[in-house]
This record gives sequence, structure tokens and C-alpha cells, in this order.
Amino acid sequence: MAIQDIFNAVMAFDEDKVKQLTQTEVAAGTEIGAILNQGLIGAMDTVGERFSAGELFVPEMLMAAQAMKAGLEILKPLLSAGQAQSRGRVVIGTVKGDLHDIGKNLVAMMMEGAGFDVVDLGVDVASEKFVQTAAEKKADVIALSALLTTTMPAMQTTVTAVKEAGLASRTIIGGAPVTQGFADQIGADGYSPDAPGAVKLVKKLMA
Amino acid sequence: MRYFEYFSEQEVRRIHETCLRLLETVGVDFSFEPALEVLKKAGCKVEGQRVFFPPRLVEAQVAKAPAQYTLQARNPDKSVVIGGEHIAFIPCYGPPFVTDLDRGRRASTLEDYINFVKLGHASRSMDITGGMMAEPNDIPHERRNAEMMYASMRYSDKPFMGGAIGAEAARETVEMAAILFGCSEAELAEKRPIISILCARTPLAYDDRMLGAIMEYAKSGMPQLISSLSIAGATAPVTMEGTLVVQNTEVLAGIVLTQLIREGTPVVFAGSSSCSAMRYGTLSIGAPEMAVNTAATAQMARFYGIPSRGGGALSDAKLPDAQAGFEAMMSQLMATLSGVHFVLHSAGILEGYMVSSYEKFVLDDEICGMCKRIKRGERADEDRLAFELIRQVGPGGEYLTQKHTFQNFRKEIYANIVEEKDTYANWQQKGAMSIDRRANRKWKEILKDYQEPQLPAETDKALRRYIERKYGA
Ligand code: B1M
Repeated sequence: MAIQDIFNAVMAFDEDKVKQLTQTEVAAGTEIGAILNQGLIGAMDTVGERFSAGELFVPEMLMAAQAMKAGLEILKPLLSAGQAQSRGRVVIGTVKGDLHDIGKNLVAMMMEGAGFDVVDLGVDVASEKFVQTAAEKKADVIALSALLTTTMPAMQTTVTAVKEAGLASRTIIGGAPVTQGFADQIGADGYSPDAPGAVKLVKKLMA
Repeated sequence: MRYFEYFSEQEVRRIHETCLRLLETVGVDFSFEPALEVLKKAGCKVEGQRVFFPPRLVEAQVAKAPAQYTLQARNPDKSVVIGGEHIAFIPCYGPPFVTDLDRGRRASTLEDYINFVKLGHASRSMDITGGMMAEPNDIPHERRNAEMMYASMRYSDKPFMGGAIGAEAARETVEMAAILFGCSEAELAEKRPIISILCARTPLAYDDRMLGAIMEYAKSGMPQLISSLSIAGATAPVTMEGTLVVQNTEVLAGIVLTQLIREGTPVVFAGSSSCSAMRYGTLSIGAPEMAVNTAATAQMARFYGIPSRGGGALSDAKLPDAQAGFEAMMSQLMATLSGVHFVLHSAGILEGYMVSSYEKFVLDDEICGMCKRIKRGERADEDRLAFELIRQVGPGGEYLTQKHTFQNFRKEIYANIVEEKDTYANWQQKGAMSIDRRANRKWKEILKDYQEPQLPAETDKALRRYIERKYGA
């Protein structure tokens, strides 16, 4: 029953309660995998469904993700190597010349919420910086955001630079003026029109 | 006409004082060395890029901005007063896409830009033809500002908006305007034929490109909107009061800089803050919260004695449909009733600034006509109360055949452009068209009947020469 309480506490966006209940469960000797999967991740899956159905709103989803992460922090040292592995690493940023970051931040937050390790390079990020960071951090995915038609060419520059550097990282792009057609044209590995879609896309690319 | 006031006088004071406290203790980031130097010299505390403003400095500088000024048009009859009792309507700004019922949604081109100049020129409600009504995606980046300015200068004799993407675009705009008016830049500062929109990098910052342009325009004495687009729940607190405070703080900081560069430089106190559509986390502009911000912006600007910008025919809709209509009218009416002076995005906007629609341009033009009619105001004097006429007609009489009606109806009653007001049977006989189809027919008619205003051949040549020298033929 106590795992259900953790689940409920995530659903109630109650970070403190999630922490406290997770600690209690760990102390009681409940299996770590069960706390993780049925309690924390299970709750986030339900949150995701209710978000997609339009019942939960963005701040609620982000708050649930924070509550989940608080519980996860407690479990992390106790997880086996396999369990502890993050879903993957994403390097994200807004491309050179572009200062819009609200959408990019949202994408980053949702990816973190979904269990990805996210390195956020901020705005006005040069292609070299993407390449260098992705190489250093062994990124699985490089996510580029642009809101200006005048900075969309910088996406092309970056995608090309990633390829030329011979990195294994996949590139995905998004932002209000960006389209699937443009992604195809510049040879990006994926495009998403919104943040939840970007999470799904990364999961698909990593599968 | 009395203006709608959202806040009490006390509340306005409290908002102002909160902003002063923010400016003094939290500060605003300016990522441009020349701007930092100006602000430091004026007595601001500067730490890295963070600038802290003494309240006395803010109040003294903001007081120097003029309350009213005139944008001189190439055709003097079309000059536009910014401030006072006047409301100016300006079309859509910035969208990278256009749409119309025939060709659908697509990347916009220079041809679209020119078409929107022509539609703005022909409109009886648009005071200024605008700027960047559609991004000219089909020509090289470097050339875009010059070609847009040229089109604005050639295809209309109304005032227009200048380039704003950086100091170079600002300089280029001023140089081209001086050619158009055949005058020196000092004389241009007297005429002020152009106005541009410069914006904060919300929250609480200004970036180097914007600052470059702000400083360039201020040096030239060209009017500019100092604008903030804070988003409740994303770049600002989720309360509209908190968002107003962030917006107001950004705008005050920008205006201080303009006045330090050139005292009395004309500015517009510009707010276009709105809220997030929390179901998706995206910006919403067809929101009642945006209308609240519009009214509040007008009131704050009045408090400072500076012309205001707010509102617009704003919509999040994807088509020129009922949603587009009611959202646009909500914000346009709010701008009108609250006494806004400069209404950018008054025609064409769809999808939260992403798309310019030909049909919506015409529909919004109708909204603007109606709003100008409301704004014109009524005077309850003896003549207009028409006691004498009512006495003559008496109980049970009629007014349709009265000379008074004949003489005044055109002035008094708004004449619609595309609205359907005929009987059901007649409407059916005329093809039972929905409003978007009527608008589709209308914009084509306007473009077909469009007449280019005369531009002296030497001026045209000089402008083309300027562009070709810089960017090739
Ligand atoms: C990697 O994978 C992915 C996957 C999905 C991804 C993704 C990456 N990135 C985003 N997504 C997707 O997921 C998100 C949601 O689920 C979505 O993200 P979005 O970012 O689209 O959505 C956000 C959650 C909310 N939306 C936004 O935040 C953007 C809204 C609009 C109105 C906008 C804003 C807010 C701003 N702006 Co700017 N701005 C506009 C925008 C018009 C619009 N409707 O998009 C646009 C993009 N801006 C424009 C302009 C012109 C400019 N802006 C500028 C500045 C600003 C502000 C600072 C005022 C502010 C940004 C504040 C900030 N901190 O980011 C200037 C440029 C600054 C620069 N160098 O970057 C300036 C040049 C303004 C000027 N004249 O003053 C226009 C573009 C013009 C063009 N033709 O390209 C514009 C369309 C507005 C307009 N009509 O003028 C999806 O796109």
C-alpha cells in the first residue's frame, strides 16, 4: 500500500511527502525497483497521460516531475548499475543569433522529467559549442531550437558540423517556424512541433 | 470619450513604486558596452552587465520623453499624430508565414510584403503601413531590410516602420529615409517619418543587437517603441499584476537609456505582455489576460505622460474563423476603450504572431473601422442631442426622410466593408458567402484597384542605387 502512497504523493505534486515516504519505504526494506517503477515512474506515466488528455497543465506536470526527482535522488545511491542508468543524454540549446528560450526550456524540462540527462547550453549557441559539448558528454541526442527564420540556417550549420565531426549523436530540431520539411532538407534526424513530442522523439531515436 | 481605467490611482502608484524598487535593487541586464557606459556615466551602479537605476534618475529621464509628436508622411495629409486623443492602427508585424484561402499557409515572400504595403495603403483605418508585415523569405538575409524599406517607401505615402534587428538595420533605415525625403539626417529628425519597435529580452534584460538599434535610432532622433513582451507564467509571475511590473520595469529602463542618449527623443511606452496557454506552455495572445495588460499599459503610460502601445487584432486561431474574430475584437476594443495610442498588429495576425492572413487583414480592417468609430466619441451638446428635431417629428413620426438624416448619416453611422447586413433572401441570392470568402474576394479587389502613389523618378533611382551599391543588382 505504501508504494501507492508514493504514487499518490507524486500525483499530488507533493515533493516533501514523496521524499519522506520514499525514505520510509527504503528503511522498511521494500524492493528498490518496485518503489522506482510502480511508485515514481508509474506516477509520471499517469501524469503524462493526463497531460496529453488535457486534464493536467504544464506547471502541474513540471511540479510532478520535480516531486518524482526528489524521490529518485534518494533511490539513486541504492540502484543497481542497470537501474541507475539514465534514459540517455541530451545536449540542448537555442542556435547562434537566436535568444528565444521559453520553448527550449520547456523541452529541456520535459526531457528531464522523462528521465533524460539534459545539458542545457542556453541561447545563442555556436555550432562548435554544440559539437564540443556533445563529444565531451557523449550525448545521445543534440536538440536544437530556433524561433527566427533568420537563425534557421544556423541549424543547418550545426547539423552539418555534427556530421563532419563524426559524432554518433543524433540531431533533432524544433521551434515555431521549423517544419518537418526543413528537418529533412538539412538532414536532421528528427523534428517535433512541441515539447511532449520532442520527448517521444528522443525515446524513439534511442530505442 | 472617457477612458476605461483598470486600476485605481493608488494601485498605479504602487505598481510604479514596485518597479522603481526592482530597478534599484534587482537591476536589469544590458549586454552592450556602449549602453553600459552611458548608464554608468548617468549615475547608475553597474556590476558586470547588471545595471541598478537610482529612482530619481528614472523619474527625471522618463519625464523628458514627449507626450505627443507627429510622424510626417511623404504625403502631408497622411501624417500621423502619436499621442493625445489619437489612436493609430498599424498592421501585422514579423510573421514568417502567410496564408490565404486560395494558396493556404506558406513561407512568405517579398511579394507578400509588397501586397501588405498596398493593403495597408488602401485601408482607411491603417494609419501607418507597418514593417515586416511578412518576412521576405525568398531574398537573401542581408538584403531584406533594404528591400522592405524600399517597398514601404515606394508603394505607399503613409508613414512606415523601420528595421529593428540591429544597429545596421537602423542606420540603413535612417539613410534611406533621408534619401526619400531628400533631406539631411538633422532635418529628418524634425520630420520623423519612421517609427520602429525595439524590445527588451524579457525577463529584465536587453540584448546587444536591440541596444545597438535603440541607440542608433535615439541618436538620430527617430521615434521608437520601447517594448516588452513578458509572458505570465513563463518570463514573469503568473499574476497579471506581477507581469505588468516586469514589463513596466523593462520599458522604464529602456526609456531611460533613450533619453540619456538624446533628451526628448520620442518614444512609445509599449506593452504587449500576455500569458502562457498553460495546457501547452505556449504563448497565448487571444487571451483575456492580454486585454488586461493592454488596459493596464495604457494607464501606466498615461501616468508617465508618454504615448502608449498595446492591443492589436490578436488571435491564436489558425484560420480567419469565429475565434479569430472574437479574440481580435476583444483586444482591439480594449485598446480603443483604454486610450492606447499605437496599436501594432491591428490587421492580419493569426497563430500568435506566426502567420499573416490576407483574409483576416480585411476582416480586422473592419474591426479597426468600428473601433475608430467608437473612439471618435460623442458630444452631448444641444445640436447633437437634437431636441428641436425630435420636437418637430414628434411622437409616431419617422426620421428616414428627414433632411437631418440625409445630411448626417454618412458621418454618423459606420459604413461596413465586408460585414453581411442584408436580408437572408438577398444574401442567398448573392451567393450565400461566408465572411472569409467575402474577405477573400475583397482583398483581391483592393489589390486590383490599387494605385501607386507618385514617387519622383530621381528619388526612386537614388533609392535603388543605394541598395544596389550595398548588395548588388
Ligand atoms: C530540439 O527539439 C525541439 C523540439 C520542439 C521545440 C524546440 C526544440 N524548440 C521549441 N519547440 C517547440 O516546443 C515548444 C512548446 O511545446 C514550442 O516552443 P516555442 O518557442 O514555439 O513556444 C514557446 C513555449 C512560447 N513562445 C515563445 O516564447 C515565442 C513567442 C514570440 C511572440 C516571441 C517572443 C516571446 C520573444 N521574442 Co521574438 N517572439 C516570436 C514569437 C512568436 C511565436 N508565436 O512563436 C517571434 C519568433 N519573434 C520574432 C522577432 C522578429 C523577434 N523576437 C525577438 C525577441 C523576442 C523577445 C525577447 C521579446 C521574446 C523572447 C523571450 C525569451 N526569453 O525567449 C527579437 C529577436 C531576438 C533574437 N535575436 O533572438 C525580434 C527580432 C524582435 C524585434 N523586432 O524586436 C518573430 C520572428 C520573425 C521571423 N520572421 O522569423 C516572431 C514570429 C514574432 C513576430 N511576429 O514578430 C515549439 O516550437
